[in-house]
Amino acid sequence: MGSGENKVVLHGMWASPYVKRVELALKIKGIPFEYVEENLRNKSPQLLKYNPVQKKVPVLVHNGKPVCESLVILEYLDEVWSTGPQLLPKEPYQRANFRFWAAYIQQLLESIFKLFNADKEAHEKPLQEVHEKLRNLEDGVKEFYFPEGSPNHISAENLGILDVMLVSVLGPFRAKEEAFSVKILDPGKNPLIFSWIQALIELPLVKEVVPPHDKMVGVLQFLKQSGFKF
Amino acid sequence: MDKEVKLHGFWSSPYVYWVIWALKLKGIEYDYIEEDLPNKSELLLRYNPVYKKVPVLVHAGKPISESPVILEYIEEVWPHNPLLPKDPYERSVARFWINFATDKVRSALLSFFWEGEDGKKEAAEQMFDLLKISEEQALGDKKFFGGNSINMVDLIFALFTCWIQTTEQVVGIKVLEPSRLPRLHAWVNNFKEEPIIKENLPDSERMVEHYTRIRSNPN
Repeated sequence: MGSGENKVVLHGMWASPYVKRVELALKIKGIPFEYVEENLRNKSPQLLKYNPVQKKVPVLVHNGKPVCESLVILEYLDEVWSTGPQLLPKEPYQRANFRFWAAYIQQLLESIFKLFNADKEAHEKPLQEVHEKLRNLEDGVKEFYFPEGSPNHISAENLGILDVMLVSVLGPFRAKEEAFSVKILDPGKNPLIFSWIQALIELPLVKEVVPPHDKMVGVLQFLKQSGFKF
Repeated sequence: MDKEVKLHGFWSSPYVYWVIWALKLKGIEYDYIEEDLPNKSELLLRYNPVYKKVPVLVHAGKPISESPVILEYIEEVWPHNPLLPKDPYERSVARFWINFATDKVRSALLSFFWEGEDGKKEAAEQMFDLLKISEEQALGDKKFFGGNSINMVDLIFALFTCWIQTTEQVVGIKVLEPSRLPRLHAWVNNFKEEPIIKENLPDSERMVEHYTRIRSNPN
């Protein structure tokens, strides 16, 4: 792969789950890329030029052309880098199933954000919603993704869009639990998801992407105290 | 005769229309099952246990839920009369706008619909801002979002046709005015005149009646 043929630049922010998705996908697919850390309180003129509508990260710039929205970027990566590891399966019905559950994992993140936004006294309802979504996710993916039962080990070669989505949302689950003093992921209630994320965060590729625990706790607490709306 | 493709829907749902239009534009024959939404059928609950919503497309007995997922599936299984561009970069731009409409536009429209007297002016302004962005950045000088002919992006932006018009009437505030959004206004008329679309639009009076009732009686 020549240096001029495929220039890929990812504009991101180290704590953003949406950015993490793209970072992990690029690594899984073995796509070399340049990373530009954006200061979200002082966005670069490039970011504003590449994403004038949302002014957000991640933005993937491929040979000078910007692609925005994490899930749109993931689909784009699979279509352009169509040989080698694929994030989505080939068969249309399976693709639909994977897209459905990828979107559901995004719904899980939104419920986690609702939990973060709630006052400490009003935690119960949003937490119940998170647990319900975890239960649905566990029941939903069990049969088709883990037919042999909860995984002890996952091979880096087999990673796909659902793994990418799960890492982006639950990779730093312990940091989220600590920052907000809540139990999000209970191995007793969600044994499959618990083993799944544990197996994922042990992989060197994933370790490179998940933000360091203390740094994550710090930024979450800081944002909460500043009245940030997740 | 039992057809291989079935669609569970509800007559006023924009998401159901997205699927109906996609199927008809590709000439795919299907059986339509109207769901009585307060009394969902057992089949629907079995096919979509997670959301329990319409639309659900059933192809050769296998259910697919969530309209954007259904549309991508239809595009892949029946690639003739394509609804997405072939070029991956152009596709990513189309998908960006589809995501924008299904996410931002949809929530703004829901807020605009549900806001009470205190909040409705602000909700209307927010709706207008999104309409402006759509007109300037997504539509531009093109006749349709898809260029010279409609594509999936046009289907999704149909929220700006019957559904916004109904909301404007029910809430009592106009946001999509020809003087403020001339190109988008022209697009609404062009879209509604397109063959297939024209014959498959919900009745406006029935819509106003239905949504007025829902707004005053959320349960």
